[in-house]
Amino acid sequence: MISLILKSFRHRWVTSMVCLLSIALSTGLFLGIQQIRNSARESFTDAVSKADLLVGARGGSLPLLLYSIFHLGQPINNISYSTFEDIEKHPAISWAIPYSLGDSYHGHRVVGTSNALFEHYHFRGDNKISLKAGNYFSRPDEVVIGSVVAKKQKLKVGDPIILTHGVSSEGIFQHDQTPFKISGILNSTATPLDKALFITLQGMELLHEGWESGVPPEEQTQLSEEEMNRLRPNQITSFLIGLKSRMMVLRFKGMIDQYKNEPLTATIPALGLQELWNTVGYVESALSLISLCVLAVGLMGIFIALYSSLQERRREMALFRAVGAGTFHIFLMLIGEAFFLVFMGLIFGLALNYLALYLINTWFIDEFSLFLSLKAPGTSEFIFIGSTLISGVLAGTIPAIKAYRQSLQDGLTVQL
Amino acid sequence: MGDDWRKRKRSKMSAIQLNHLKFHYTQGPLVLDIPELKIEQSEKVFIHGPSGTGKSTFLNLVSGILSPSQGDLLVLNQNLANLSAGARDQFRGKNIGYIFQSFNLIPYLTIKDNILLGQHFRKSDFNIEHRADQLAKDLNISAHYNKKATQLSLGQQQRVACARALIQKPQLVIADEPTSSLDDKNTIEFMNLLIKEWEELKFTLVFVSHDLTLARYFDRTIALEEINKVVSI
Ligand SMILES: Nc1ncnc2c1ncn2[C@@H]1O[C@H](COP(=O)(O)OP(=O)(O)O)[C@@H](O)[C@H]1O
Ligand SMILES: [Mg+2]
Repeated sequence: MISLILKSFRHRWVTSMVCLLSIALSTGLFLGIQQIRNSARESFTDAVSKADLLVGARGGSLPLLLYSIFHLGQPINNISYSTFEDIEKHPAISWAIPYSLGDSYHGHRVVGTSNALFEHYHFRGDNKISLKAGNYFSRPDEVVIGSVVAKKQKLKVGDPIILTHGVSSEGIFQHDQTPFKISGILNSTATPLDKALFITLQGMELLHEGWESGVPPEEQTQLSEEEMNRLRPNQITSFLIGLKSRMMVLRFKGMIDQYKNEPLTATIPALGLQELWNTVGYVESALSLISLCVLAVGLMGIFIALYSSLQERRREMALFRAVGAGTFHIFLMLIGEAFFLVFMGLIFGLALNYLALYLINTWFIDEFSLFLSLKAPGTSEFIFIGSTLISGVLAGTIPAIKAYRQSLQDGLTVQL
Repeated sequence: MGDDWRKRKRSKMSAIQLNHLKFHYTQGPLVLDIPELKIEQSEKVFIHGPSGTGKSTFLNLVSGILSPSQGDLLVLNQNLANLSAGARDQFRGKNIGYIFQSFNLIPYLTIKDNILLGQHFRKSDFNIEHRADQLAKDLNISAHYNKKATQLSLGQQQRVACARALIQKPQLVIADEPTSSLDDKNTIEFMNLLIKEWEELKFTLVFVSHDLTLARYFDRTIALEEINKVVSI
């Protein structure tokens, strides 16, 4: 009987395909949104862990988080280095990682920081930054690069590179004057770190030495190592801190928010991300709603397709009955067809979902250096699949009941 | 299987036997009121009558699709009223071959699949494909075996219908005006092939038509309006 349903399906393939595709589309869309949301959240959340507070100039905590950790967007205001030094000294602080942003190398962010980054930055739980080759920087004119940068720009330890002022990929001014040397290449972390270059805060100053007027200095500035070490950073963009005790977080945050010398903002990274999810949540809900509408169209399509085929099927049903089919068989055949349509729709939808995720993933890695993990369908997916199947069978029930009644009435003689 | 019919003959059971059968559709007028009718095993019976007199209704009763409103109906010695609806369906699938006037075939199935249509609802029989081949040869349709039903002429389609009705070697074959839509040449070919199959299988044949010239192929001719006491207009 299943082969009979398949052949009947082939016969009515145009309408069947429309139903099938709309179910596939909605399944793909719905599951895709869920999966992208979950794994995007996961990978965003995984990008930084074990950090208690992120501190920057007074402003929104989400932008602060986005440009400091995810290298998205531009910092607007800096904070003075002395503020950093002052807070860093506080006895409650276990570690602090400064960030000085604003430069780029072929579109990759250049991050001015300190060795604290390599020592204390955690991601995906317990993971720490590690070297694939070379050493961490020990001089202001040394640079450590992320794995993606190394791969894309075909760089290796010892190569000299020229860093650019500004963050566009074609820097307006090239810092031709100060070539940096690659001291180390990091292992891949699957976080935005992979796409960044790291120099010391002094290195950052070195980069801008003589730029006080806003344009490149006219004469070549060649500093001796001694002169370099004497450079003192003026400003940084933000800093990440880990406290000795988690219990201190809120009190410390309050303290920083009321810091006297300079207006500051402190944010708990996880809470900052929550703000992001709230913003993105509207889009997600809208897309989910759209996909549910597409699903409803598909289910209604099945209902209409089956219902409107009943008249033309009356002779078929009489034939089935003549060769021994009962009215219950007729009922089952229609239910079976609805089930088959939904089932195939779901299979195609799942395939579509994973294909789309695969494609989006490549783009996502490129754009954010975040990986979406392709997961097997989980509970919420199975709930969706299950309820879609049930709805499909329900959509087939009314036509099936009608067919049952019809074949009971027609028997073997169809009067048209 | 070959000497089945002889056994049947010996047992002297009748193929169809009815006593004071009355039938009306739900909330309809009485359509059939037949005091007595007996059709023997392997008999070829021709039933005729004006349209609307209840010929098809009678055939639906015999095949267990409809149940008598009153009276007894025995088919192959089985009182259909004693069977559940599902058992009647199975009984029909196993024992009765049915040929319609037209639209005998599922358009999107091949000839082969049409002949084997009943297999979807019957117990499977591993010899059945071989038998389908054989029947297609006997009925001059094997050249079209894997074509779609819609590609065949009406005459060919009716022969496929015949093959489908005979595939499970039924004891009873019912034909409801199977030649009404055929021209003379095709009608004669159809009748000859049907009778040739009868010679071999000796099934009971109940054949309805209003074309009285076909009566010569049969052992007995019954005018429905003569045995049916319901007077129709
Ligand atoms: N499914 C049905 N429901 C109600 N009345 C029917 C049905 N089928 C046939 N009839 C009525 O029963 C009578 C006999 O019809 P039918 O058996 O088809 O006659 P015939 O086959 O001799 O032309 C007709 O009056 C017809 O209108
Ligand atoms: Mg009729």
